[in-house]
Amino acid sequence: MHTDARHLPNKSTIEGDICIIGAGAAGISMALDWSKTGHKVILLEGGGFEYENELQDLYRGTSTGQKYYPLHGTRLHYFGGTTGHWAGFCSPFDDIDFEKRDWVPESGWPITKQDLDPFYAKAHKVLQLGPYEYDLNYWKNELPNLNPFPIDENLVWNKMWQFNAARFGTLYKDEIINSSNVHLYSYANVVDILTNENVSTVNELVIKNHTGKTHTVKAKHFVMACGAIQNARMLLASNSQAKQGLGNDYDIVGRYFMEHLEIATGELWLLKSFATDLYNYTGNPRAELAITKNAQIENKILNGTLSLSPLSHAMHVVPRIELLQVDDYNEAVRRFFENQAEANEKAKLESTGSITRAFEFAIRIEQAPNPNSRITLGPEKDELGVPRTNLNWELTALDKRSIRKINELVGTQAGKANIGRVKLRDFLWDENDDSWPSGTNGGWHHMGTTRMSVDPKKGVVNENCQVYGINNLYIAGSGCFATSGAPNPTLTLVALSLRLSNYLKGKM
Amino acid sequence: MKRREFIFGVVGVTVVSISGTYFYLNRDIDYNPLIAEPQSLSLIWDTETIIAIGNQYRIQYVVENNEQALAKRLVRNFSDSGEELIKSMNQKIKEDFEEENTVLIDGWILSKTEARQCALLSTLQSKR
Repeated sequence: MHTDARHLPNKSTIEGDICIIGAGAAGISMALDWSKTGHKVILLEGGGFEYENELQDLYRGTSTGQKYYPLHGTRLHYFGGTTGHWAGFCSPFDDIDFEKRDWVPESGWPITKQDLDPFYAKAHKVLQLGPYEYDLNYWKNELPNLNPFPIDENLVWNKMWQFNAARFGTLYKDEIINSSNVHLYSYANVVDILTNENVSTVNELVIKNHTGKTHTVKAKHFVMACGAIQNARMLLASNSQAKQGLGNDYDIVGRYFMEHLEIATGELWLLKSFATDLYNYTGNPRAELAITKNAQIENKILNGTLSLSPLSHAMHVVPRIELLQVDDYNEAVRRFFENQAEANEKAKLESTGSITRAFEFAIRIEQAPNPNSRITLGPEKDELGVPRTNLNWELTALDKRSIRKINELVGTQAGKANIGRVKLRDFLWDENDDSWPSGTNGGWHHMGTTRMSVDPKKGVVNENCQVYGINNLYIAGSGCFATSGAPNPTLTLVALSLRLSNYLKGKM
Repeated sequence: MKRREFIFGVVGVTVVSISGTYFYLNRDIDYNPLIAEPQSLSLIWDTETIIAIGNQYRIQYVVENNEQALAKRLVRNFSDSGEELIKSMNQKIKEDFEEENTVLIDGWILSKTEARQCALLSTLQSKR
């Protein structure tokens, strides 16, 4: 079922068993999981079914600290959410990502990779990926020419990826609308979360849209699935009963914002051609060069991987953090594809010599949890009266040292195997230099603002994604990540949301 | 003419050409000019780049900034020649990477041995 909340009589009350706030990857995955269950599910979406500037403007905010993108350009505010522009990169987190690591402050999840495995498999179906298989040997039996570099597997391994840019907005629109028990309300922006007097139970939500109408939503359970920035924003802004905001007794909401650092870090020049499709940037599946658990422990570094793309093309690509500093999202998209086309043309001129065997290393690495990297509310309000967000993105010396070490390890192994030589980008030459280059991209991966912890003083949600202190409020999505792993977050956030869904079914 | 015919017992400076580069032989230490030829790096760089890397190495490691110092550090077995010598140099480079005996020159992660090869070539070039 679907209702456009703009057409409801003003001050309507919507009631259901479970209310999911946000129809993006997390929210839609959960709603689908509840379809045909006999429970009435309310799915709230702030936008409609298409991109609209007026709605997108609600995501506008400011940023301080490490240079970041315009906030309203990194997320999409309509049915399907940010799956409307994601690239579909999927790979599960590693065992070590969930573990406590002495050299990574505040690391360690309350759950293990094994706890999430059944839900990763389920997430694969929602994301319409291939089998839940990420072992190179499996894929070598399935596909030809996936030959790995002959490098020391005790130090460097091939982390497999699968790809499908599943656009939830088009894939699941009909299924959601035709569901008999899932009721989608579009143009239903949550502006306040109201609790009982002692702030232990959410009683109702207040929703608004640009028509000026206000409605109320009541349910037994509420799940916030608006993305890591918006979830934190709404918890902080819902401060009519708790001065610091909901779930924020210990001032953790909004802190530990994490991104994936996606930076060109070096070049691999192969001594001779190496016949393989394993590392092709457009391959599906493909591999990135990753550092083994033991090597991470020995070197006390974060988890990150190196992807390879032809240098002749990559050398002409402008870093996204520079290219996408524009106010208009559509202009940003145009610039991105224009630059890619230009790089393709210029690459054609580099068709001879050793550069044809050269690849750019681009790292994708977790950011160490950092309480000063955080979301706060700014002084300005959006058109619906909700304070806008400020992001203070802060990186640490551990982030930089890890990037350098990962490139060194792979570079040394490439030399040892005599397959090629590696050149580091100049920002990595001095091991005492903690500065960041102008091309320090984030991946548009927002994580960790409502982190999971066994300790309410150190986290916003418990191991079941329930907000501490509030018995019927849950968070779905990457905001719950305690650490951010190396892979893009969507597969893991969908898996974690499906785990939450399973938990809630047990409570109904 | 075979390469080893250039090598031993030569007094003074003799210029030879191998792979388009020039080598000198020296009275203080006799060495096969092949040691100044970084085999692997020549697959990705031209001579100009190899010499530039060598120049940079000599700036970073001043105590090795002469032909004698570099040759002494590069030669493992004076009786090696030809293929044996190349094999020996390649083995030394592999061991460097295994033992993390590497240097960072202009951003490149190089084995110390191959970086010295570049430096030796650079010193020879500067004598031309």
